[in-house]
Amino acid sequence: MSNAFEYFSIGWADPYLFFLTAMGTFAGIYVGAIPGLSVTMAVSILISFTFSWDVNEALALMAGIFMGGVYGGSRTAILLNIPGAPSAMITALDGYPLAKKGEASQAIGLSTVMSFVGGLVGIIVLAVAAPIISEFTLLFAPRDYFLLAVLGLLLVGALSGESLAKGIFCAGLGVILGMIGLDPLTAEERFTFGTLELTGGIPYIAAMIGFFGIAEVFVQLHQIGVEPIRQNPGKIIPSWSLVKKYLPLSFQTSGIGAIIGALPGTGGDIAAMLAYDHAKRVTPNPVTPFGEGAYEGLIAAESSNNAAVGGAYIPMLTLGIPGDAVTAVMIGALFIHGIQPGPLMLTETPHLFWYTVGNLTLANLCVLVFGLTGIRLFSKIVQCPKGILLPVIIVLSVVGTYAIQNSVTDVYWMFGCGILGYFLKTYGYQVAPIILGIILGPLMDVSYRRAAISVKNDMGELLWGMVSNPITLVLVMGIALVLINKLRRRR
Amino acid sequence: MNPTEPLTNAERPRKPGELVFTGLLFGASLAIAYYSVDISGLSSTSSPGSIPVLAAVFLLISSLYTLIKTAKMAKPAADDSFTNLITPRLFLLYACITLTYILTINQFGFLASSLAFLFFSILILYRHGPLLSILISINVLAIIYVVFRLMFKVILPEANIWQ
Repeated sequence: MSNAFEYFSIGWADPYLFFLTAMGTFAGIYVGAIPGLSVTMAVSILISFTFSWDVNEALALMAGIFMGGVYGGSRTAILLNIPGAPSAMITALDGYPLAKKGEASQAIGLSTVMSFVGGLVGIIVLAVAAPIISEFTLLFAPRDYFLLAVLGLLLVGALSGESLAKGIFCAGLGVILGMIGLDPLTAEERFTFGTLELTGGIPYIAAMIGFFGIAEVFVQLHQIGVEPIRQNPGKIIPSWSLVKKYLPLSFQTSGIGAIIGALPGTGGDIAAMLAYDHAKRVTPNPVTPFGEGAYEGLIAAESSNNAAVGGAYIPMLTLGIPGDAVTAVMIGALFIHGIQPGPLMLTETPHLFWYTVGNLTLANLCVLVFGLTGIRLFSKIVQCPKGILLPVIIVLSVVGTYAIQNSVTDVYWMFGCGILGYFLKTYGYQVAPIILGIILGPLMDVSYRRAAISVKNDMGELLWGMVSNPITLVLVMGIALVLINKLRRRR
Repeated sequence: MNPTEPLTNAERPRKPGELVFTGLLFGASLAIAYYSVDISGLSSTSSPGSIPVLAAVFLLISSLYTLIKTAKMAKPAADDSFTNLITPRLFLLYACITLTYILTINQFGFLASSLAFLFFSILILYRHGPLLSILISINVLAIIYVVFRLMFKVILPEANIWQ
């Protein structure tokens, strides 16, 4: 335990690491706040820059950006009704009506404090539950990893956009994109068409920046003439009585956020939706109706999406499976630094786990401090005209993509994915499942084939293993439940 | 109408070009299915082609379903055309500018290409005249260069037109 505390405090005691976490949080708040810039994009661009850094420095910066970015999305959601991040979409439902009533400062202050509470709950769940989960996951067989990957894909595909079929299509497309290159088990070429450039596959960072960043730029072109609404934020620190009144709801929705965040393939946006639904059910007679400026709606959204950050780290660190799109990118970063997240991480590199917990705690504190200060400056940056913002996003995307392998081919892939992403978004497809398909597809492929090879391709024995092993059976039932729930909801 | 506004299938008519697009995706799914089977045939369930074939099956089913549903949707409004709504002039122009930028970045280097790109982009999108556009471009590029090249030591493309 004393070792755990020692590792926890590394990021706090080292001035440079402290600075990186604080700077990352600060940058994350502003990146997350600006519509068109996403936390996923910011983290994916920054990964390439941190290649040559020490792993502790890279993790400190990314934890800050993640925590800050998730919170930052609420700013523009409240002030301008333009969510800076998908997880802030629910925040806008009640945040913006509050701003229209002149209560923008109250809304921002309350969302900041409740984001801090949510973040703290998520980190506690990570610190307490992750070691338990990691012991449990040592029992996982390759078929269990295969089912986890399927569950992750199912959840994202099923919860995205206007059409289940479109979500499944995008997830399938992502799996195929992740298969391009050499087969990891047999080195056989897949979808390379004899070209050398495709032998190494499409870097998923380039695809991510293309689908998220470039596509969004082209989508925003349709709103180039829309002027942002100007706000006049005043005092933003909420009173203690107001905080105390809503603390129970914040804890409840934080719990929802942490659990949802811990599920592979889900993230803050889904957590916020479920938490909002919960808040509506437990608050039958709010002072202000939901959707018209109810504090309960704002609190539920913000507590849950920040709690989901800590939750998302659980499957990332203990299972090596992304909790959401951002942790999918972070897994890539860990691989690049020679660290394999997964069940053995807590036994082989426990210092990294507790160091991460310490980083997240520090980043969460920075969210509180930075969130309650600098709002006036923030308002000016957020109101940067799109005519300047959009070209800057493209240049940053080019820089980030080129930095992966110093190859301009990656930049071409990024652009191609951006154009495809634009048309997909225009016609109602969601691009997030594509990225998770790229990440989870290879895991699904290798795990399934290892499972099949272990039973000498005897499918009967493989299926028997799925019902005779308790862990596998639970996963199979989980997948079945998700499918049944989804089919019921669609009727 | 903002073509990217989220509306459910039940609410909205078909967007211009949507049927063609979903048809193209179905065609792409057929091609993916063909190449997936071509990887290693259907010889073994643990072959390199097994998961690609599985993914291709899902692609085929979902894209065919979407194609059929899209075909059943109401036609686009008469005054909504593909070129006006989906690929307006600004989109085409900006896509060409961006493509030109990334195609020339190796020849002219990051700084020159990015400066030109920023200048023309801000001139077209921000529309506050060439002087302000160049001033903003220079400042933005300077910040990007200092932060990423000097602070983060990120390698940026050098011009090879002189080589």
